[in-house]
Amino acid sequence: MTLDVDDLTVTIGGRRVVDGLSLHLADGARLGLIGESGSGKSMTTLAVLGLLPPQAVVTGSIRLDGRELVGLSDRQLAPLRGATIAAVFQDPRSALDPVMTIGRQVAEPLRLHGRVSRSEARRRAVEALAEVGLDESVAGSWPHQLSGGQRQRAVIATALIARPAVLLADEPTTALDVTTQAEVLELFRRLVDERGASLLFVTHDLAVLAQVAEEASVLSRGRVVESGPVARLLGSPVHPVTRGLVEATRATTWRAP
Amino acid sequence: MRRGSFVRALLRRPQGAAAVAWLALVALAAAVSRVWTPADPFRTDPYSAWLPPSGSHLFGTDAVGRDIASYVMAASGTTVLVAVCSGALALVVGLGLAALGSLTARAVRESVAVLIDVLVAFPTILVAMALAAAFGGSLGVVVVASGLGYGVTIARVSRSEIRRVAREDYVTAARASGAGTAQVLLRHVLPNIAPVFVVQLSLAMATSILAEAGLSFLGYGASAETASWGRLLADLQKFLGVHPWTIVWPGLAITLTVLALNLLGDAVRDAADPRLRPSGRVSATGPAAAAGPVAAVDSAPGVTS
Repeated sequence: MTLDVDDLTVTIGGRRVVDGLSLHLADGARLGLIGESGSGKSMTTLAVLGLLPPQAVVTGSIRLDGRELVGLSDRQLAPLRGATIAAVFQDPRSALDPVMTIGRQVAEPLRLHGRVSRSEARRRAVEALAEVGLDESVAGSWPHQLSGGQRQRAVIATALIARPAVLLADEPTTALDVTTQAEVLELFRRLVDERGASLLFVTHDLAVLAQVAEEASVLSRGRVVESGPVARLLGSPVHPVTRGLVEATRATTWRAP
Repeated sequence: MRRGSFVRALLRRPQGAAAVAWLALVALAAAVSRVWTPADPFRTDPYSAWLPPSGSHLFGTDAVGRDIASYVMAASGTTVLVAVCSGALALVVGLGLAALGSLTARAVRESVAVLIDVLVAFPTILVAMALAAAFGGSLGVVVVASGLGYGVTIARVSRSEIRRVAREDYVTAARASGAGTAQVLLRHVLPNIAPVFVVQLSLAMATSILAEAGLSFLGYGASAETASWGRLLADLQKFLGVHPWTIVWPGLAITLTVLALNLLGDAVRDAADPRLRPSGRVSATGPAAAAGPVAAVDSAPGVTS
């Protein structure tokens, strides 16, 4: 499925957090959205899901396979969320409900959309957990019993269980340590490939982006300042913001032998 | 939440087990007293006044020769009725006001918050006495006054809890999974505010028992035909100087029941939180998704040049 964002502007309390942003996510493609914190990345993800705070004013257009999403009500968007468009958020420590078992949370999109029975939902949750490398016993455990990496795997399993056509990932590896980060990225790439889903990957880290996406847009103060293949952005950045991000990437990875 | 593990966690705590045992005993006494008591709780007999505890009068008799044990047993029915009805009313009022005060449009929500703050300022006992003065004393007045009174208190506490939970990431995540407002409320918000809510509810029930006893003691609560621990306390305290031991029975019944409800609230809260249950971490699971993935970070094109 394609996702087209055209001239998207989000204003919250008189402040433009997204300012005329456009991007095109082709069917089955993996697009990166990169920028410093506060550049409007997360707001873009939330805008696509229709989950911005109620006082936010949205103009422009977000089309999913040609269908306009801006202006749809919560009730009209809910059937799409989790089923057609799914999301993985930044912090796996807070993204899981502390009083719901992992199995029930992973199965939640199915229960919300699919009218599947309890036992069928459980069976598919165990399957989804296996796909992200988690054992069956995890289904019966609570979020606090899992490590950060395990939790993010569970979150990814939740996002993918209903086989969404578009996956939004908002800094899904930022809260993880480097080793876990690499494993989770690999998992992302593999699962998105297997499913043929389109991926919008939001991050502030070009090195991370290089592992999952071919194309990327650089975001600064709510607008796209540079777009192109990730390799080109890394090799010969043009815009000062892109250069700054590349510098930051060098600074953190240079120490490696 | 799995129900079995919750009940086990509740009963494993000594306070929880003791509270459940006592409340079960009170409930049992209340149920049995509908069909059977050792003696007629209201039959007076001037020839057997102030008998000490014995086989035929377990708790002894009072000034008019009533069997105290039978009366205490019959009165437990009144207590259970008042606690359950007040609790149910407080629950509906509390959750309703809390939901109105947290999930609606800003103007509505803020006005409800002010309304809650105003209502909290009314002392429940005085409201009950005012109602009793207007409509005559009855158990209904006690239930309405304490149900509304503690419902407002519950609303105040639950409102801020709902607002806290509604801002959590897992609520956003659930909405991103396709949950509508009602589903978010039922599946995520309620279970997460339940611990605080249950403690408040148990306090409300405990306090409604005290209110009933207090109002009946003062003559605003249960009518003369209704057995009540507070009324018995009032009858017996007149003879406190001569027969001090008799007052122990209703006093003990009230104290233990209120204590048990308070303990139960705390135990339920602890048992409902999976983080407080003894159980280990999940062992390392599954094969790592990729071998040697760290190298990939450095070999990204252009980074190391």
